[in-house]
This record gives sequence, C-alpha cells and structure tokens, in this order.
Amino acid sequence: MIGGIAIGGLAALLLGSLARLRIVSRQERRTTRLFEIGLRLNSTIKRKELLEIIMETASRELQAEGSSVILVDQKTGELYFEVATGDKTDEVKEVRLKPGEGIAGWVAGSGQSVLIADAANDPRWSNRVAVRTKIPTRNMLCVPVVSGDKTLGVLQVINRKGSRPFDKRDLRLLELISSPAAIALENMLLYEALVKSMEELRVTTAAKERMESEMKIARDIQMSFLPGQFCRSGRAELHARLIPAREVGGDFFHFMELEEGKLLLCLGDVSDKGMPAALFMSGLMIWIRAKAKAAPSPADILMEINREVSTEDSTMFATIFLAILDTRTGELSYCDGGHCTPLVVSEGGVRELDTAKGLPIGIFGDEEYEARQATLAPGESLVLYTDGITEAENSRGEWFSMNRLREALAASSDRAPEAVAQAMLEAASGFAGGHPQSDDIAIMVVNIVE
Amino acid sequence: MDVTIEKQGEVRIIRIGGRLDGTTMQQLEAQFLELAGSGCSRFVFDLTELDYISSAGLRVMLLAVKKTKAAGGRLALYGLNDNVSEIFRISGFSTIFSLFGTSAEALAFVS
Repeated sequence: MIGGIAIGGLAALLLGSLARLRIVSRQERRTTRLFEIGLRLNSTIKRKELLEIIMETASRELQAEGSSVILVDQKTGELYFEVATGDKTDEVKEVRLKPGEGIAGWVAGSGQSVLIADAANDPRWSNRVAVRTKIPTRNMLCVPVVSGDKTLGVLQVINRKGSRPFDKRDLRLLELISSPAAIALENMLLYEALVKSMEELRVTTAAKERMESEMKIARDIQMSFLPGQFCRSGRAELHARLIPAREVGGDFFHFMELEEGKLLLCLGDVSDKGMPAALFMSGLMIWIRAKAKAAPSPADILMEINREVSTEDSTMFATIFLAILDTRTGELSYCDGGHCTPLVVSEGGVRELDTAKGLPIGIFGDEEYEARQATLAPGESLVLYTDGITEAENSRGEWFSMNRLREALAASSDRAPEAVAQAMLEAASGFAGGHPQSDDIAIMVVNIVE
Repeated sequence: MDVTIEKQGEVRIIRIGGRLDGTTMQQLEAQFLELAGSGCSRFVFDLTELDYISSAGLRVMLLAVKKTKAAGGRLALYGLNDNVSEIFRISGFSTIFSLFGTSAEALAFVS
C-alpha cells in the first residue's frame, strides 16, 4: 500500500511538474512569439504596410475574422479608420468617429481595454460600423494603443473563429500585441511628420528661390538701364552710383550729352519696390532719352515725360530732379518733381539748391513744371541723392538725416566727384552701423573743374 | 500702424497712427477702398498720431485723393507733424492735398 501511495504521489508530482513545464514552455513560446511579432511590426514605417501588418498579425494571433487599427486624429480627437483587413475592407476605409463615440471611442478616451463576448446583448456596442460594413459582430476585443502619455488609437479584433468567443486571455494577448504596435505606429507618425516638414521646407525654399530670382531680375533690369558711372564733358566731371537694396527700391539716374556742350542730369525714385518699380523705372529711362532729344528745356522734358507716364487709375509715381547743365559756363537750368532737395558744395560750405517744388511725375498728366536757374562756380559741386541716404536707419531707428549729410559733405576735403560720393556712402553706412539697407541709394555728384 | 474710422454724418474720419509705409499701406488701401466702394466720398484724415510716411504711404494718399475727386467728393488732412509735413512739402504733395491745422477746419472743408 505504502508503495502504491508512493507511486501515486510520485505520479502526481510528475504530472504537476509536467504541467508546470508545459506552462513554462507555453510562456516561453509566447515570449518568443511576441518577440517575433515585435520585430515584424517594426519592420516598416510606411503607413499602409504597417497598418496591414498590425491587423494581419492581430487577426492571426487572435484567430479573428477581422481586425482594425483605428487611429486618433491628434488635431481633432476624432477616430478614423485607415484600412481594415477582412472581406469588407474597402467599405470601412473612410469612417470617422467623434471623440468618445462607440466602443473604440470609449477605449481611446478611457485608455481601458474592452472585451465584448456577446455583442448582440451588450448595450455598449455601437453598431454604426457594423451596419456600414454589414459584418454581423458576435464578439470583439478592443485595446488602446498607447505610446508614452499619448493615445495613438485603438486596436480591435472581431468575431473569433471557432466555437468559443474571445475571453480574458485573448484580451491579454491583444494588449501584449498593442505595445510593439504602439512603438511602430509612433515611429511611423514621426517619420510622416519628418517627411511633411521636409516637404514644407522644400516648398518654402522653392518659393524663396523664386522670389530671390525675381528680385535679381528686377535688380538686373534696373542696373542695365543706367548709363554708367562716369562722365567728363566740358568743365563738368560727373560720378554717379546706385546701390540697390536687397529688394529693388526703384531709384534711377541718367545723364547724357546734348548739343552745344549741354549735359542732361537726372536722378529720381519710383514709389514702389521690386519688379513693378524696376519696370516703371526702365520705362522712365526710355522716355527721358527720347524726350531729352526733342524738347529744349528741363520743364518741357519733364512735362512730356509726365504726360506719357500718367494714367487715370495708376498710383505709381516717381520723384525726379532733372537739369540741363552748360558744361562750358556752369549754368544750370532745373526742375524739381517732388524730389529730395539737391545740395551745392563749395569752399564756403553746403547749401540747398533753391527749387520750385512740383509734383512727382505720374500723378496728373497735365501737371506743369517750373524751371529755375543757377550757376555752379568753378570748384563747386552739385550733389543729387535719394532718400535712401537721408533715411538710412541705425539700429535705434534714427535716420542719417539731411543734417548729417550736410556735415559729411562739408567735412569731405577731396572735391573729386567719386571721392565725394564715397564719403557720403561711408558716412551713411557708418551711421547705420550694420543695420540693413532697406531702400535703394542713388547719388550723383557733378563738379565744375577749376 | 493703427487705423480707426469714425462716422460723422456723411463724413468718414480716418485716424492713422504709427508708420505708413510699404508694409502697412495695403491695410489702409483696403480699408479706404471699402469705404469708397460703399459710397462714401467725404473724408477727413487725422494724421495727428502719424509718425512717418514713406513714398509707398504717399501712394495710398494719392489713391484716396484720386478716387475722391473722381467721385466728386472732398478730402482733407489735418494734424501733420513736422516730419510728415516735410515729406509732403519735399514731394510736392502738399499742393494736391487740402491741409489743415485743426479737425474743425478739416471738417468744415469737406462738409
């Protein structure tokens, strides 16, 4: 008997051990299986592929008829179906659920898993999806897919194949699958965000390049219409400079020799920026050339040009100073179309040229201009400039101003036009102290050689 | 730039503060065109708080005066500070605008 008990006890012990071994080896198999699932889920970061792998894995592991990954739209909080496996895949593709709607909504909102063993008799079951897809739902599992503190979505499987419905062990397994799925989905979302921001960067860069190239074309147009920088005619020596701002400001100058030792001088500023200013300026340059040959006086030239460029509905205009200098005598006849008042530099100091203020050109076609006369004595210089100089700004928002310009001119000992222009530019840029130049700068200096 | 619009009978008083330049002109242009489009043709611009006007800013003022003249209306400015006044003088614009010292004078002119 004793032996019988002993044998019986031994057998029980052996059976118990075997059972434990089976559990251990089942757990080991499961761990290995989950490890494989993890590897598989992380094998891609492409949305469509990844969702298919997750759903296909969930269906197979849970022996389910169908499965779906329902993602949370991080902006609206809505849930949406990306793809769904199973026979009726296409029909559930576009479904969006309001936050909290249905079982999926509840799971996403609460972060808790749900097991519905008998859908027909469970009040929590919203049949919205089921009705749309016409798949009768008998039982289902739904678990949250959480990464860190963010719910990315839910993973659900419906209708267990075979006779028994889903149970708690199935729910636990789906939860275990959900963890690597969350990591994979998070990687996918990061990848998508990266792709999106790269695309945005590409688009902004392209737009910026387009703008840069338009700005360059505008600059090229502006510069190509200028007559050059130097001129020596009779007793007059001339130097002109144009330093365009990053975006063309529409400054311009012109000079050309006329008959009988006369020299046409002109400098101005179009009231716009970029391409429109460059085009208006180029038109003006052509009109100046054409009208200077036909008309005898600055007032006539200006009136003719003004008539050509003034239109009823356009508000584009240009301030302009236009003069004819007799390079033999220094006699100057000039008109001021709303431009910065020119300065005359002599031994005795700097003075403003006395002008009759007219309107800029391009405003009213019938505007009349009044010419004034002055004489530049030997050694004196006429200085024309645009507001790019006087309104050169420093970092405190202060302007270089007319006063500082006059000081700079008075301080410049070298009377050569190029040296005077250089002194003006250096004074203005020294004042701005690295603050970017926001408007074009145009300068013309004409000296009557002693 | 700040723009406020006040209605006083037939007249619209447009108050502009700050800087009227290339970056702010479009806002004023849009607001003015809306008023002009709704049939207003009597305007007073209060420039008391205007610190600076660029040539782009002058373009909007030019647009305003052109539109108003075309509609047979009247437009007046008042309250120009020294800086703004100088820009109007240099550009010759003081000759095409009716400039006043006080709001009463400006209102009387357009009414």
